Amino acid sequence: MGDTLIIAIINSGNMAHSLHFHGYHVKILDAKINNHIVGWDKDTFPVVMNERITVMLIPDKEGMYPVHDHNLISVNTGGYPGGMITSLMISP
Amino acid sequence: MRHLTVYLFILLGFTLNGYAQKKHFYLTAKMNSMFILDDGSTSAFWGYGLYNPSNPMNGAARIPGPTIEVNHGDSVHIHFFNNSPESHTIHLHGLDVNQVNDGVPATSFMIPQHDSVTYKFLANHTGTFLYHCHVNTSLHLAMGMYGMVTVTDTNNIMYENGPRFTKSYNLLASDGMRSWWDNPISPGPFHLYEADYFMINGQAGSQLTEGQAIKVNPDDTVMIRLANIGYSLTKFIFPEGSNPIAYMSDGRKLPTLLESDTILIYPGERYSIILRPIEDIEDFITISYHHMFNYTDIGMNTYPISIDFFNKISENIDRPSLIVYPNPASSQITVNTPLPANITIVDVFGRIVLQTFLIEGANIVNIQNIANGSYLIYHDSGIAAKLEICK
Repeated sequence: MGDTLIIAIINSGNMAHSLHFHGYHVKILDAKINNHIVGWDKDTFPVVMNERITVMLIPDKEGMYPVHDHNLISVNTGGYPGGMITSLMISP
Repeated sequence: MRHLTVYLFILLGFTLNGYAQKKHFYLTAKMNSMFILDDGSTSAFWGYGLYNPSNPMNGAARIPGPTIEVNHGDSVHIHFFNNSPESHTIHLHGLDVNQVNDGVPATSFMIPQHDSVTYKFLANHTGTFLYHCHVNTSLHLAMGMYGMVTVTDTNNIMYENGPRFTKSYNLLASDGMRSWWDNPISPGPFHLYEADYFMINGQAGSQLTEGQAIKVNPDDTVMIRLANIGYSLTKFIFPEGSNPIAYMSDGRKLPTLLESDTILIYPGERYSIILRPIEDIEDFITISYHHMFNYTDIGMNTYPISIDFFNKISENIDRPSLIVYPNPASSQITVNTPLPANITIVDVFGRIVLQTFLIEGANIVNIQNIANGSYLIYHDSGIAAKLEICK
C-alpha cells in the first residue's frame, strides 16, 4: 500500500482487448493510439492492436485483485479462468 | 473476537460516514428462466431477479438484472439468495470494493445453491457501474447474469461542481449467442463465442419501441448512462444536433469533455453523457456492434429519441437559422438573426456566460471575456447554434 505502481501494457496480438482492473481505478498516463483517454481515471479501457499504454496506480487497500480482459473469449485457455488474467497483490 | 471486529466495523463505519444511508437490495439468481426474443421465439437464459423474502421462488429473473439505484454516500447491502442449481457470485464492476466483497470465486467465495450472502460497499463515487456473476464468467455472463448499478447525487448533479440534470436514462448494451442459450451444458470452447443476438436493456430490434423513447422536453437536461457488458465493441451514434457531451466514464469525471456524436464503448466500459440539443429531432440513436477481431459490423439496434426542446417558444412556423461567424472565434462574433431577440450563450455545464439583445440582421457580439471552450447560443425564437471559442 502506498507504492506508486507504473504498469506498461502492450497489445502485440491480433485483436482488441478491454482491460479491467478489480479493486482500483488507474490513471492513464500515456496511450499511443487511443490517446484521447490520457489523463482519465478508468477501471476498464481499450487496448487495441499495436496499442502501448502506461497507467499509474497508488494502492490504498490490501488484497488480491484480478486484472483481466473483459473481452471474455480471451480469459480462457480451454477452460476458465485462463489466458488474459493476472492479479494485483497489495500487501499492507 | 469476531463480535468485537463486527462492532469495530460498525463503529468505524458510523464515524467515517455519519451521513450514510443504509440501502438494502434483495437479489436472486435463476437458471430456468425464459425470455422472448425479437423474432417472437423464446429462449432460455440465466439471470438475476428481485428476491421477495415472503416468497423465495417469486423473484423472476430478467436480462438485464434489476438496476441497483443508490445515492451518493449510501452504505449498500445487497442480500443475494441463490435459487439455482449452481454456484454464483455478484461482482461489483467498477465499484472498487475490497477483496471479500469482490465476488471472485478464487479470491473471495462462491454462493452455492440455496445459500445466501450479503455484499456490502460504500457508494463513494457517483456514476455508472455494473454487476455480474464472476463464476465461469465467460459462460455465466453470456447467459445473462448482469445488471447496472447507478450512483446518483441527491441534488442531481453528475459530480461535485459538475453539471445538473433533470432526467436520466440507462442504455446497457449486451449480446448473446443463441446456441449457448439453447445448450448451456456444453456450449463448446469459450473462445469460439460468436455473438449473434444484440440487445439494449435486454431488448432487440422491434422490441425497442417509441414508448421507450428518450424524451427531451423544454427545460429538460437529459443525462444518459451508456454501458457495454457484451463481447463486442459498441458504437453509440447520436443524431446530428442532439449534441451529446460525455462528462464521465467509469464513474469518474473526465479531465476534458468528450464532444462527439459517436461514442465507442468497449466491453465493461461506461460513459455518462448529457444532451445539449441545438435543434428538435425525431430520430434514433444507432447502436452498432463490432467484432473485437476486425471490427466487422455484426449487429445493430436503434433506440428512439424525441427532442422537443425548443417548442415552447415558436410553434408552427418555419424556424429560420441562426448564422454565427467566425466559428471557432476568438474575440468577437457576428450573429445574423432574422428576428430581433435575446440570445443567451451557455457553457457545456449549463451556466449562462452572456445574455444580450440583438436587432434584426447582423450583430457584432463581443466575446473577449469568455474563456476557451464549447458553447451553445440559444435564441429567443427557439433556435440555437454551437460556438467554439479558441484564443
